[in-house]
Amino acid sequence: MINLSEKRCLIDTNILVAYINQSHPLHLNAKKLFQRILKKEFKPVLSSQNLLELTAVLVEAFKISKQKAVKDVELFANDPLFEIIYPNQNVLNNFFSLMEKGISLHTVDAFLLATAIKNRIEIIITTDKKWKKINEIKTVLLT
Amino acid sequence: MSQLIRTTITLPADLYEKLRVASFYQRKPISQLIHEGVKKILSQKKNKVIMMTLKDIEGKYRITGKKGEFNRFQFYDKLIRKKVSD
Repeated sequence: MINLSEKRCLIDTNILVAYINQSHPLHLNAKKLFQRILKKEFKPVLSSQNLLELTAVLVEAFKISKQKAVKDVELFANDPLFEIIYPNQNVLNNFFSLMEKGISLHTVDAFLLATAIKNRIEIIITTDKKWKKINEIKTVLLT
Repeated sequence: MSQLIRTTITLPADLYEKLRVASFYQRKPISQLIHEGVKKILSQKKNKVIMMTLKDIEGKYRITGKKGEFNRFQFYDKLIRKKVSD
């Protein structure tokens, strides 16, 4: 069991989707996780990639207008509880190096991992079991 | 009182004329009217941020099935397939 206390944890896009969608099978667990965030039990981090993906889900899958989708996503982006991290040249180099090593993640996951590593994130919270196979970051699975 | 900064702004001629008339009737300098307007806009934005919180988005949507979930692999592969076929 990983102790999250005071740790900076990257919240994956699938968690954000589970939180906003009450029909999601993991909605209640995502809600509990956000209660822990509100109690400041750990330090939640979002990557610009997560915010981009959430916007795309709202627009393309949920069929919400772009204007409304942005308003929802801004709630995460502007909430002082969340730290937002961004890719830079170092992230790109780290992404290339992960790809050269043949990392067993989807290409886009590898970019998220590179962003996390270069921003010194130790833990990712996700619903995706594939992250458990990765040694570069600790994974907390929301199941 | 906080430090004052002198700045230059560009306004459409008709808006400037309305501002000049308002300045005359309200007996306030144009700079004061602009100052009041800016403060009003900024406080509205602040209130809006305070009104909306993460709780407002909790369970906001009811999307059943795969469309209501996020699978990065499927999501990007669909996009990539579309890009390749275009």
